[in-house]
Amino acid sequence: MSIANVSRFVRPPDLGAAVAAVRAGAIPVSGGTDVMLHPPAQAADMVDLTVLPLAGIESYRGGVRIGATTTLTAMLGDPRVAAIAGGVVATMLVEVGSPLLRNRATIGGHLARGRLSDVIPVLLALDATITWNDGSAHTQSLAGFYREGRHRTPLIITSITIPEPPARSGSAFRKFSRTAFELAILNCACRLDLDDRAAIAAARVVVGETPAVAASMNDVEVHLAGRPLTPEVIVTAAQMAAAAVPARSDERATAEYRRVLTEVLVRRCLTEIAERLA
Amino acid sequence: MAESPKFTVVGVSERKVDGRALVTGKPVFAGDVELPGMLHVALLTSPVAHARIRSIDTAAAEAHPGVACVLTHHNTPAMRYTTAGQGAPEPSPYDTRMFDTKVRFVGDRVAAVAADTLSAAREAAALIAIDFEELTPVLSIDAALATGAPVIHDEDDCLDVWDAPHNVVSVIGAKVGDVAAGLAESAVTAETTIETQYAQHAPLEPHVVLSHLDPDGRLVILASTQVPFHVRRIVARLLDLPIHRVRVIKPRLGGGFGVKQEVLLEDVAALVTLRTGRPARLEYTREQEFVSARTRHPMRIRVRLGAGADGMLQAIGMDAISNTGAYGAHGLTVLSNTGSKTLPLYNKAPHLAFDGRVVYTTLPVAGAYRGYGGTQGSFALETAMDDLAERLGIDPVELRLRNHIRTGETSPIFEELGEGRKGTPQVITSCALEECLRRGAERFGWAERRARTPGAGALRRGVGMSAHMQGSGIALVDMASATISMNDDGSFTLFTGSTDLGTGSDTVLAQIAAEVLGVGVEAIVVVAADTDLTPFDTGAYASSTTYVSGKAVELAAMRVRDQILAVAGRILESDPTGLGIVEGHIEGPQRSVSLADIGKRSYYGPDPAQIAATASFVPESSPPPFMAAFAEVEVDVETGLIRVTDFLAAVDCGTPINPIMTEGQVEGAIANGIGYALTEEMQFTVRGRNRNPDLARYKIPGAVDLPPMTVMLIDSYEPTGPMGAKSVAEIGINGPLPAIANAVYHAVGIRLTRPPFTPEKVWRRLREAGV
Amino acid sequence: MKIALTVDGVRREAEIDPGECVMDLLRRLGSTSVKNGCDRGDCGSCAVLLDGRAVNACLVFAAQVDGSEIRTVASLESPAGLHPLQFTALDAGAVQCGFCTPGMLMTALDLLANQPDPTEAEVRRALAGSYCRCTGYTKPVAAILTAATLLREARHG
Repeated sequence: MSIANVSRFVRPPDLGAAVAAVRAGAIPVSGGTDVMLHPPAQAADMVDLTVLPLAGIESYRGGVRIGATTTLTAMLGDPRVAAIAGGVVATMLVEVGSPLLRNRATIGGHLARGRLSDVIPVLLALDATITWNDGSAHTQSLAGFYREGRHRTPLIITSITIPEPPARSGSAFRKFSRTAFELAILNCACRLDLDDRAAIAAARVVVGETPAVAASMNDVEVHLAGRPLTPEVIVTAAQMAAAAVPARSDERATAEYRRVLTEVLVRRCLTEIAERLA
Repeated sequence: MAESPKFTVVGVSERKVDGRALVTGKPVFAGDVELPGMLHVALLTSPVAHARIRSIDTAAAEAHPGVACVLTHHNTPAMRYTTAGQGAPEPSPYDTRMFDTKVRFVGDRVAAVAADTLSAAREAAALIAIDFEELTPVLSIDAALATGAPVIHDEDDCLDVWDAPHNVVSVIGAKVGDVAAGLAESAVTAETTIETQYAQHAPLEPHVVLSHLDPDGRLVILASTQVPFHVRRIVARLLDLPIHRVRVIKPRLGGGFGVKQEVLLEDVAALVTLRTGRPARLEYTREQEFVSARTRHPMRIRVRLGAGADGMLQAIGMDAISNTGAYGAHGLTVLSNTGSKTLPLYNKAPHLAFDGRVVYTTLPVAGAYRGYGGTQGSFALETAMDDLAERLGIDPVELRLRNHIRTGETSPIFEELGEGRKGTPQVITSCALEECLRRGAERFGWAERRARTPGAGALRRGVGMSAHMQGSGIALVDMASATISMNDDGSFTLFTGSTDLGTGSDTVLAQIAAEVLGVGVEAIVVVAADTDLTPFDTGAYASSTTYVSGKAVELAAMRVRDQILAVAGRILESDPTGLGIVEGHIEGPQRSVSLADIGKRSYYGPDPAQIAATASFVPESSPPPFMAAFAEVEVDVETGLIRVTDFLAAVDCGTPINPIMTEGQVEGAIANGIGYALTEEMQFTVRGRNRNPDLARYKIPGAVDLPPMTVMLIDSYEPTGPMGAKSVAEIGINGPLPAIANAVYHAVGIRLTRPPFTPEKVWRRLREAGV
Repeated sequence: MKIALTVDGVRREAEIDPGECVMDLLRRLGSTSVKNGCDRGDCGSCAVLLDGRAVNACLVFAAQVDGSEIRTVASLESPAGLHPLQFTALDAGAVQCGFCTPGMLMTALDLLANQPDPTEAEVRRALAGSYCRCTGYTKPVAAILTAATLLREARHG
């Protein structure tokens, strides 16, 4: 889709120049698949991030660090990403868009959008941290990044870091949509860390496409902490999630139905984790 | 059943004659052609559902750099016509103007701008100022029929509208016996009301047209159309040109499914070319394809069935109301087919009635869509049959076996319901539906799967089935012709006016010609769908090409064969009646002569004379293909998500001329039907604006979404068809909706009657039912 | 702005608009096998290989492909004849209207380069963003599996 209102396509010599351009109103472009679909309303410059050395995957403190312009396909093909958290990142990536989109879309561009995402719930469940630059470099939790609405401010995401969960931990992801190549009506990612008595040491229950940006269900996580991973606990947690989810109606689903899906997907994710850890 | 003769080329899965060009990406589609000085045309369409145009100011657009021509109702022909590409006189009302003073749906044409570049044309179109006097939109069948409803067609010059003041386009009825009495006498009755949605064809290639003037000043239109001859006739009339001053060429077509049986863009591009003398290209965007092109008629259909305790049907009553949208294109004929492609299937019932009305709304225009009303009618009838089977305690397959039409039988409906008028009496000359039902059920494992319990967990499985008929062309309406001429190397050129819209019909016709002429398919050059070069054919619709065009090709080839054998007889000094062509040779008593020798002699002598013949064919009947469809579904009762896990179609289409292509027709139609059943729906705001005009939200099935499909081609031979063939393009689409709905009933006990069966809707029904 | 790229082995220079997409550029340069089915990444008809990976050409800025190598379906045929993906498509009946075919073949080429021995489910997933309205995918999937076998056999001599 050729788009109007692109004044210039800037190839920045370095990150500093790119950040300066973005702070001056330019739009950062990585794979471009999302920018193309949401062209600027007024004339704007584009800054090509793919010319910067931001792509690549490396091991980092037992987890992985992924450069912002790394494509989703590159992530999917990387053994370190495949190994992390029992493979939940790879399981999720297969359900994101289509191979044609994943070959072009980058993790940084995806996270910058902050919505319509299967990736974000999983990264939130795994306590990922994000590194970005708005004139100086910052690192913070991905959850904090969205909570503070930073993705709506002028900055350039440079990398995302996913830590490896503790030894006795399980993660699961569920996407619910009418067809395979489609945005989720609702999605859910959960992670449970068990202590040596097989009780839940820490929990992450993240629901996305509510349709707001994905977020942890804090009350549910607190409720789960310290409890044994029994079917009753799972059912209660799922019901709590359904009651607490900030569901809204949109063209894809009603709020009521999203609550029902929340209950089902949380229960299925937790059950899957319980079966895996059993 | 007649003994099937043995064939050499027919019945073989030959490669598509156009396949090589397609897999190598050659520029063979209308949109691939660029001409020097070509203008690009942008359409301005209505943003409101119902309004009168008070004024329209094009001054700024005309002054915009690069603009060559602006068209509105001020400077275009005012005559009424129909966009429906049907034979003349069209059975659709003349209720459309090129550019009207009133708009009747969001997406209705308001103006067109031609400019040097597409972006200039679009920019200029945005500068056109229109003052709309907004009128109340009419957004449903009930709103259209309500007392005091706004009159959508209040103009005084539209033709053939039944009752415009009440928004009724057409009424149609057929009555045999007394349905009320039949129902009263029945031991068991069933009644079902279904309501179908707005759906779109979504061919991968959007409509595109390129017009220009040839060196003699004749108008040449390269169009993505299923009906080149109808385009020529309709455009010539609209633009006041003699028909012979217009040439329409259909190159390769990127799918049609009925949506390209309409004249939607050709008239505009042509008028731009006439006004400017320059080539003009006009192409729908995908959004325009959804908003402004054609759709499937949404219908509300009630079916009432009555049967004796033995399961023999006594009465079938079908009442249907069809929403044709803003214009009546195909309104009457699609609704006729809702009855005529369903009711004859169960011809044992003595009491039959069909009652139909077609209404206008201010929503997108419905048109021809694969299945052509039969799809909607089948859903209602086959859902009611499933219900009746349960009430009778008879297996659904068995109920169909007891009641369906057989070879040698007829139905009064054939005569009562035609294409918007009385039909043609017809005796079924081939029907292997019994084998389709029996062998399909056996291969599918129907009895075992039907006996299985659905399960008690979140995922419940069930199986359902349905039976179907369609037609092969339109009896005593369609006409196809073909010319075959022999070349000097012994090959042949087949000139056919028929339109291959991607189905492979050019290949099928070449195989028929090759079979008769005793050569391989590579010895047939196909020249098709060019109104200057090829003889008339009504076009690709109503499952007509294999049966109607194929018969014309067979007849032409037989005449050419006779001419060849006459020459061969002279050369071989033998009686031609005893001769035949085998693998390019004619064997005489002593020696043989090759087609190459005869071809050369026909050009250069002795006694040179072109060997060629033309034949026409008008079908006297429309022999139905038949199908038994079987579906297995898995219903997630917690979310309402339905997955189709298996689908089998057993099809009687007579001789499959090219078996792989035949299977492909059925598989593609099933995929389209599964989309129609589960996800596809055009959604509208309360103002009548389309909410999902793209393929991200209007969801057609992808490769991951579809189940394994089994297509069984059941042995059958249609004595009136070419080489025993019937047509097969449409019937497959009728199966998924009822078979899936019936399988869902088997799995979870709810009757789904309002497609698409999307998860939230199904979940609500499950909750209501306490599942 | 001006860019240089390689299209099907031929170096091309082009003056482009900064908002132009690769699909429009390629069609403008004569590569009309790159089909515009939706213009927004939903259908896959415009898929080409960009530096070896299949992408929706409609969703890539031309300004970002300076120095890149693009392959369209026009590059598949060699002097030895059609590529196995092409002739298996013909033999299996995977081509009906053929409008989606160029994009689908390039998507399949990417799949087989990275997964020479795919399962049927993997082929179907690879085609997730490549719509076909004619075939119902049964025959395209079968054709790609056959082509995979032929290519593996050819590689192992």
